[in-house]
Amino acid sequence: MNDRNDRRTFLGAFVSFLLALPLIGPALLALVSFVSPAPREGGGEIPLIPLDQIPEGEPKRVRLQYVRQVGPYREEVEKVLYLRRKGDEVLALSSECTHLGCPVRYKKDKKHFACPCHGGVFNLEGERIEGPPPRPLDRYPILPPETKGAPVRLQLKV
Amino acid sequence: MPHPLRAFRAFVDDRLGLPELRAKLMTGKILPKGTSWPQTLGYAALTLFVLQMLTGLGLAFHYSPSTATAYDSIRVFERSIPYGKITRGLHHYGASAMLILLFLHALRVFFQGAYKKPRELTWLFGLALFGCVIGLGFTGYLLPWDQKAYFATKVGVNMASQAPIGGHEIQQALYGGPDLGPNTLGRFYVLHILVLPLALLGLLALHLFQVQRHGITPPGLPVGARGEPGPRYHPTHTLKEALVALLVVGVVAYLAIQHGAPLEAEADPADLAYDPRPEWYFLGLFQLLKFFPGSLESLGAFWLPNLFLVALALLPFYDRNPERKLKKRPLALGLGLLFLVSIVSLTWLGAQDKPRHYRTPPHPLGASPEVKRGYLLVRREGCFSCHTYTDDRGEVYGETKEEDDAPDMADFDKTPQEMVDFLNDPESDIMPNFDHLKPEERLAIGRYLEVIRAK
Repeated sequence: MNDRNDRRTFLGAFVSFLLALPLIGPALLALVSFVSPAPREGGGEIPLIPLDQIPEGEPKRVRLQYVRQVGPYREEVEKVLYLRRKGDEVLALSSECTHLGCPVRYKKDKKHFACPCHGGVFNLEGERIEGPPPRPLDRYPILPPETKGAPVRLQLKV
Repeated sequence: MPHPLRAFRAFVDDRLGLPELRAKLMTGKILPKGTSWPQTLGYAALTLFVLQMLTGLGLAFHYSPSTATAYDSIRVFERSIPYGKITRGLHHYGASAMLILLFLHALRVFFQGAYKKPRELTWLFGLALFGCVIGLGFTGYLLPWDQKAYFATKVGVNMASQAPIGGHEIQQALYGGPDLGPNTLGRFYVLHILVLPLALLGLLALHLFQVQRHGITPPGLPVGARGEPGPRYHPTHTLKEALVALLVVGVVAYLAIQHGAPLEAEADPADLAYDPRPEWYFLGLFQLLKFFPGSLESLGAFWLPNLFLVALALLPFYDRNPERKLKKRPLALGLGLLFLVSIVSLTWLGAQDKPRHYRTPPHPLGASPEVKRGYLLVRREGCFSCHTYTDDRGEVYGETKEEDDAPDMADFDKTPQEMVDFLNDPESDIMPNFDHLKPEERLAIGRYLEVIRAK
């Protein structure tokens, strides 16, 4: 009698599993689709402005424009960078706060970058001096101009 | 000889079994003594959910989930579709009202100890429902693709990326690409109109099933005590539910008709002049994030909010005090009040940190890409932080300063071609040169100004 009950319980559980089985696969497929971001292409070397137009003291606001392909979309991306020159070297800082991505602004009077959201402040080198940002402002690698007087180039990964 | 209508009704009643259902769930149901107004909040929230589904349906018929057209589709909906502005207003204020009601409903359940045995799962499903509604709010405000949409979503998704494990993957899954962009909009749209509402409906079924199974908590009685019979559910308690729901929808409708839903300028990721602020219900969290310096940042952005949620979810399992009267639950009362005071004051503090905005007159619907480009340049260069523009209805855009006012753009008469040279060097002590712009960019600004003047 007990054996028969056990068998019935087992059979019940097994059939329940069979009922669920055809649904588990599609559910996983939907999940995989959700966690897989679209493929991306673009980036490379993007010309900015000539070296002599980049000031040594104050950072200059420069608009970085490039095209990237993300999945089916051809996106014309625009970002703002802060460029500053130290001799022949160029420091290119992202304007995105490393805390949560709000746009930081350069404050001329205080010679620092301030975030309008949660109070992050960065110095001219992009290092955090106040507030919640966990790391310095992102730096973009800058390549020297190909010929003298030509724009410096920014190396971009998308 | 039965009346034909009566016969029809008898047929439907018999086949669907409605009288038994009515007797069981409505007229025949007696609620515990003491059930009154506080127990009407859940029903009012449910009413608002249906309101959200219906107004959302109306919006979805005209909405275009693409970054190129989303913003304009909302503008068209509000301007040209009958009652469009009211429909969107209802959807906007309905969302806020729903969150308020759910919050009050959760407070009622907490302070009356209604989460205690045997209603632990009702509490859990309820919390999950709250999560769905927060998620609907968060995914919903990206959809108009205005400045608030763009920047508040960016901040929100970046918060999710603070998770110690898999944070980057969560961020990428939500963005659907390298950054907030067209892929994100598509994903959020699907989450907003399909995934979250379906999840909500499923959870709602579980929640209501639990409410049916265990009934309303007898107020003030300890766990296990049987309450005395009180009011009949229908029509005594349902009348109260109907009145509260009507009042709430009335307030939402008033706000929708009087104010309409806000719509900021179209999203521009390269606009550095914008001060991002979240919807009011995230202002507490917004404020909380300011208190943690860099090294402790994940504490504020991840650990504190998430540990709080876990503590809330497990509440019925570690709070073993069988009492429901507040007098006999000093710890729960203290913690509950502490939470209430913290969240209200954080939200209030967050609201004090007001963004400074000036408005740039929008480009007309259907304007050429060049005009749209000009409009974006005008915004980014901050032209309207000095200049104003008064439209034909007398509405003033831009910053109005008392003295030394730069000319109002409605009175400005340079042609687009003249603007190319003028912006290069305005020969003015006050107005800066815009020589960093390309000639075609200065021309685009001229075209935009020409178009808004012609309106």
